[in-house]
Amino acid sequence: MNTVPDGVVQHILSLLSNARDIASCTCVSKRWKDSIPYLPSLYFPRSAFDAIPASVADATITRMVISAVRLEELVIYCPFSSSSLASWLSLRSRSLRFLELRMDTAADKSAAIPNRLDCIGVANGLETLKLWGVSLVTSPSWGCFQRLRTLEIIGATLRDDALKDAVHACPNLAELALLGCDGVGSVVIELERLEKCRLDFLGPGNCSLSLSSPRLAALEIQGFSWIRVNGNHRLRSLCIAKNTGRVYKVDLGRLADLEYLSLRGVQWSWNAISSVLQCASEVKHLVMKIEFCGDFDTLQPFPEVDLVEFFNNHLKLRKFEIHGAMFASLCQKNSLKNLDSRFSIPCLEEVLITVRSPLNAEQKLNTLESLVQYSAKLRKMVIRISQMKNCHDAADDFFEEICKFKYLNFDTVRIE
Amino acid sequence: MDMEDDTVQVRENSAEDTEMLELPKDPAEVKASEFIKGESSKEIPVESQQPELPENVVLQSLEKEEFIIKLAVGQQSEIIKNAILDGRGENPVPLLNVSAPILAKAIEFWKRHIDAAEGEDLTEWDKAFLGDLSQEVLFELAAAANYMESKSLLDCTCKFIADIIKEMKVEEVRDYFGIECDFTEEEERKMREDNAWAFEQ
Repeated sequence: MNTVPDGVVQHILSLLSNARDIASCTCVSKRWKDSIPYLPSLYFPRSAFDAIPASVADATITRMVISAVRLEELVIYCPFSSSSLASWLSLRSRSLRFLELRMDTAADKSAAIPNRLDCIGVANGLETLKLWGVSLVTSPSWGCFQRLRTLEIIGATLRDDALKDAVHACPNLAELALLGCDGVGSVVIELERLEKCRLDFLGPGNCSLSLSSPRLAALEIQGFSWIRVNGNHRLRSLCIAKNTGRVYKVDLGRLADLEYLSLRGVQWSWNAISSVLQCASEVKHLVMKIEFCGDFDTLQPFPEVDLVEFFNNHLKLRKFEIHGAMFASLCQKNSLKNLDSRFSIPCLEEVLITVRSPLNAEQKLNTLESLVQYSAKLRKMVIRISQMKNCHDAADDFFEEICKFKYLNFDTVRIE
Repeated sequence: MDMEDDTVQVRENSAEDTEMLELPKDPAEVKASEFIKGESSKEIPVESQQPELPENVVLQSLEKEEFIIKLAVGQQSEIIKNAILDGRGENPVPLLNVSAPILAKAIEFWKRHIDAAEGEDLTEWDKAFLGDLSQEVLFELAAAANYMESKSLLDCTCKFIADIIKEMKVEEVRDYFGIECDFTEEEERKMREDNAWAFEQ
């Protein structure tokens, strides 16, 4: 007979968190049943109680939460009632550190229960809180989550004040993510310890963001038209996107530590683009994917960008992804006027370019050739030709030139 | 050996040290796996007060067979690490509960993990390593990891076993572990009823 010492059985069981597995193991033997109280985490998947009436589901969760006297992690994806949630959190408020709840069922949304999230406040030892599909339209009465380091809210309906108060209840946050949310107009965040922030707001509306966090190192945002980040930060990685609508203004103070920069969107004001590029002089990896510029409804191509000036302002650039309107702006009549033998692109190793139109083939080739010629360290250039209309005469010429260019630089250039 | 975990502290309202907060542990309730949970603050110091730290350590199995390993390899077991730290120069370190073939397997695991490059993912290797073992050896290795207080090996073996039993029905788990059901008929019936939802496929 294989005997496994108690310590090992307990350790094996402590690695289980799926409530089904735990319930199953409870039935194995008395010794196993006795180990259940020490389990640190419980996870109830979406379909855990599919065939079971709601009241029985709640009662089962209650029973398991009662058994787990040192519960640290509670994850509930299946439907549950607010009153039951309040009792579970009260019971385990002392030990609970990690709470993840999915509250997006039809029942959740239709019931007009004011602030179902209030009861979460009792679990004031939480270090991580993740909420899916909630409705945060009135300020939750949470008191203060002193220990909360990570807050994630996904697919939620928010309101400015409610969001502000919710964040205010978490003064020591290090990581904040608000993804796939809507309903806000103006987001104001002031957090001393925030290091990583991801905000993704849906809808074409014009949202504004004001963020002040001295330890901020990574910021990834989508959906804002006006962006202001207090210059006292430590940003190393920055992604700004706006999938619909326009970006009007971006004010970030300095970007001296920035290593990774990604700018994406349909339309940005050229001032916004140039101000960010100007500040990001130390950047090592740059992704440009903005389709048009312009301050009003008219979509406009980028103005001309001087190649020499651009690379002299970004000397540390190692990897450059050029999509959208950026490449065309580097291929204008005077883009290469400052080229001379003293010029060099010292660090560039990888370039990825999307070419959208075959027009202006000669200038485009000139720019590509210049990039190869002046970059001593260039290892890889990938030219992506996307959605080009083949029926144009110019397209044939362009392809011919591009292929010639590729053969001349076969060890570096690749076409996709 | 007294194994009090001296890194446990309870601080209220100290936002700065949120990582250090633990529930107060009942010292009477001492489970081997819990030692391993706590961070070991006793790394072998570079400038130690002991005269010299040996470059190699000799381990002695149940059958008194000896294995010579590098210090870094042996440090993955708290028992071995403490034997060296204590400076008693207890060489060879006796591991009387571990048989030679099992100790050899443990050493193989530790060696691979010490040799791993920074950030290298050893999940596939771990799975293949454990998958090759018979169930008997797997259980003995887990027990040895528990005895020798090797967190990395214990976590790995237990996770592997946990993944196996996740898909199993109650009877299959009992078979796998060679466990007899010790519930009375009445108790068994009640348990099944309470947990019926878990048995729905």
